[in-house]
Amino acid sequence: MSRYAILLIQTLLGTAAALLLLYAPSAASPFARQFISGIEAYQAERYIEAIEEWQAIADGGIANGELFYNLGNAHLKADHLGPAILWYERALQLLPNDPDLHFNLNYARSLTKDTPEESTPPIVRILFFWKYQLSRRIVTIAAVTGNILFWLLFSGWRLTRRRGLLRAAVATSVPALIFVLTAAFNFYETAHLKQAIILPDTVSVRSGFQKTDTELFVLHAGAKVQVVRDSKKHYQIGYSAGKTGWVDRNAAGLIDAVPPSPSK
Amino acid sequence: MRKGIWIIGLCCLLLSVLPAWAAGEKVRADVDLTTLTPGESLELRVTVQGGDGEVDTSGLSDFKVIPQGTGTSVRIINNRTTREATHTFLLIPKRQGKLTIPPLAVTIDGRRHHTEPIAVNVSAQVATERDDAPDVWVDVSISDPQPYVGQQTTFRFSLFQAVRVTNGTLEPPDFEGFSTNEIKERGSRREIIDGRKVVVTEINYVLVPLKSGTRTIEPATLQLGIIHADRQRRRSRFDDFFDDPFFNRGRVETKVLQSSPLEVQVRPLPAWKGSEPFSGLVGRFEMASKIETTQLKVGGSTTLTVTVQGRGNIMDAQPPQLTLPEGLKTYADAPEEKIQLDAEGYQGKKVFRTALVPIRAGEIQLPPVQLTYFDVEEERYRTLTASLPALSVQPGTDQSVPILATPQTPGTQKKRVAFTGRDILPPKEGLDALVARHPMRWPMFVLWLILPAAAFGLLTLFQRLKQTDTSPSATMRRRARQAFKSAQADRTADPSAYLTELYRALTSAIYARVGRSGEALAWKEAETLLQDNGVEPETARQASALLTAIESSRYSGAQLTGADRRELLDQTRRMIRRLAP
Repeated sequence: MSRYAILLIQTLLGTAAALLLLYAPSAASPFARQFISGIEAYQAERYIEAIEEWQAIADGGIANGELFYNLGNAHLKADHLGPAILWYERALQLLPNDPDLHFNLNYARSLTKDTPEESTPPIVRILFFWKYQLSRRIVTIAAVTGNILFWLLFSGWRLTRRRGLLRAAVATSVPALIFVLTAAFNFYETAHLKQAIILPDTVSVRSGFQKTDTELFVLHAGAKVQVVRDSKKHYQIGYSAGKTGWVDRNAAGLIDAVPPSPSK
Repeated sequence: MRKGIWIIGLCCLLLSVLPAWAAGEKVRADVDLTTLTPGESLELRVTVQGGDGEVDTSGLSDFKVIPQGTGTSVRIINNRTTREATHTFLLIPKRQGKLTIPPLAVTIDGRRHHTEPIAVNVSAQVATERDDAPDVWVDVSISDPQPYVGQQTTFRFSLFQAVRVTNGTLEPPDFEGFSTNEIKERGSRREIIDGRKVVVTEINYVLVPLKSGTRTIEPATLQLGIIHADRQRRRSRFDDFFDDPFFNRGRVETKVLQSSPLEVQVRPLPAWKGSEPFSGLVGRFEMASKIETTQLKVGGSTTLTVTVQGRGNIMDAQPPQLTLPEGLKTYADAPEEKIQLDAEGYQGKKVFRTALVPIRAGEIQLPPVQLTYFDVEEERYRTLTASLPALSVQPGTDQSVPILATPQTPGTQKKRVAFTGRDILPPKEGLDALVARHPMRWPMFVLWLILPAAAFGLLTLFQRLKQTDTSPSATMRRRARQAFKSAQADRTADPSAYLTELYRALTSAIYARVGRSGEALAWKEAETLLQDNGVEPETARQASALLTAIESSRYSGAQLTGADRRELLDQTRRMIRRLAP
């Protein structure tokens, strides 16, 4: 192998290492005290205080499934069903396989008043299991890693003309492509197929922005809705086929509205 | 004269401007009543001139606000067309006293306008002009204001009407903290109240408290239309208040009635300290049991029937636990239930049947059946006991048919595990919860997809650029590589071409090493050239010897064996690598 090949491989490996470092867990010690205070408040059944502590951490830019799960717990204990389900749903985006989260979310959903309609068909969840079993972050990292690996192997083949490398590159390209397409769909879903949770106990879905507009139907806390459009102060939501209308923005919390990272 | 014309002109101008100035008042609010009694409603109209506006009613904290719709109208004044939108709300005061409808903010085309405040007096005293008893009023009650958790209680909404009403729309309370079920059957009766014939319509809800503590049931709101009878048409004033107004003639006055809030003190169930399990039933129940027959033969069967009946959460009743002795097989049947929901709540019975099959002869004593529930009347746990007679089992007639199955002992009886309590799992306490796990943004993702491809593109470009190096050394190196590849291809097919290409490959490698171009090279010349250009004498000598060997084979016409050719090829490959700069 020529020294150019070695140099190229070193460069790509260095890039991959930088990528891993960039997304590797980094301690957030300034929030540790607040987090522990939240735990203590929760255990002392001061749920509102626990919410305030953990919410401040989330507002500080920490997007973490376990933190969101705790916020869901505290809201549920404080009888805030809508926010509880919202935080559980946000946690689910980051921890799709956490058994505690599934247990608590199922319990919270059992308290909702509206019958859930039109969830993803089970066959879709089976066929595209990786999308539902892996968090978006993992899918994205797998896509990027697969992509880097493919180009490394392909470059190696280009330089050495060894057939084994070409075969390995082709074999890598298939899962890499699947993950790249899944990640791309996830980005599309985040941008265009927004979902939200109804927060107040009862919300009137109206035909327009005005409070005097006709009430089309009523949703209750915890109902999961599709955000069709949004205006400055309102969301047009869809609950199921044929059920659509406008609600105030404050009445629905976007599931994908994860607090932004302070460094970004 | 001229001055007079100016004054008249100015007046005309002012007159023409005044309507426009008046039209400049963008929003205004007015009400139909400023004095009312608790439970009555007033109509608030907010008129917005010009563009569409959004009325912010969040400041109306002293009132319950029920939107009634928006109407628009177009007016033409002095050839100016103005559009007017009127937003109508029904306001129900939440308390007595001097209340104020504060200035309401109306946002029109991004600008905020405010209405004038309006004072409203809500007095417990009925207004003088309405000293008579009301024609229509509502009331709510609850059958037990201090129920236990799980105890059913009935919330009753009653409408009293002394006149005909129509278009009734009831907005029940949210019943936060209760499991709720509306009883479909509505009661209706006639009463004489203060000498007036009044129709009382009752709507009942069964409430089951889910948690202990003080709960407030918010007011229920009923919107209806009061029909002021048409004198030309007489009709019973006791018509159902949900009648279709199409068939009712006369003036209809819309009214909103609101009930009072109710406070419910939900008591927790006392701790159960008994040895037998608590069935989870709360209410008032009875239990009965019977055995179909007590005389039977081995392998025969008899049916044990246990009936639990009463008022309460009978639907949750589970089969009573039977601790039957050995020598009996049991086969439980699906329970039969007959449950009704009436104004008092759920009541009915559940029948559990179990087939008992003896597998040995003799006297089998059956233990009593027990069921523990919480009695809401006695406010204590009660254990119901139903004793069972002994079974007298005779040997079977067909002894050749053995009973293979072992008796089903209560300890091994399997049943579906059900939740005995509901709660959530605890929070995560590890500091891992503080590690930010932000999903990657899409521009970064695209960048990471492009970067390796771009690196590969650069590599390819670099290779191409390298190949276009026209220096003698690069040209000779390329030629050496190509010739060697050709030699490899011709090794078995064409021995002559193989040797020619091998010779070209080696001479090109030597020329590449010394940085010159050339086609042919004598062995002595090759050695000298290499030594002159800093190559070790031994390497130069070996290269020269290899060149001689190739030339000898090439021109001598000697037939090389396959092994010889392979050996020569390997030697040439090694030498080309050694000579590579």
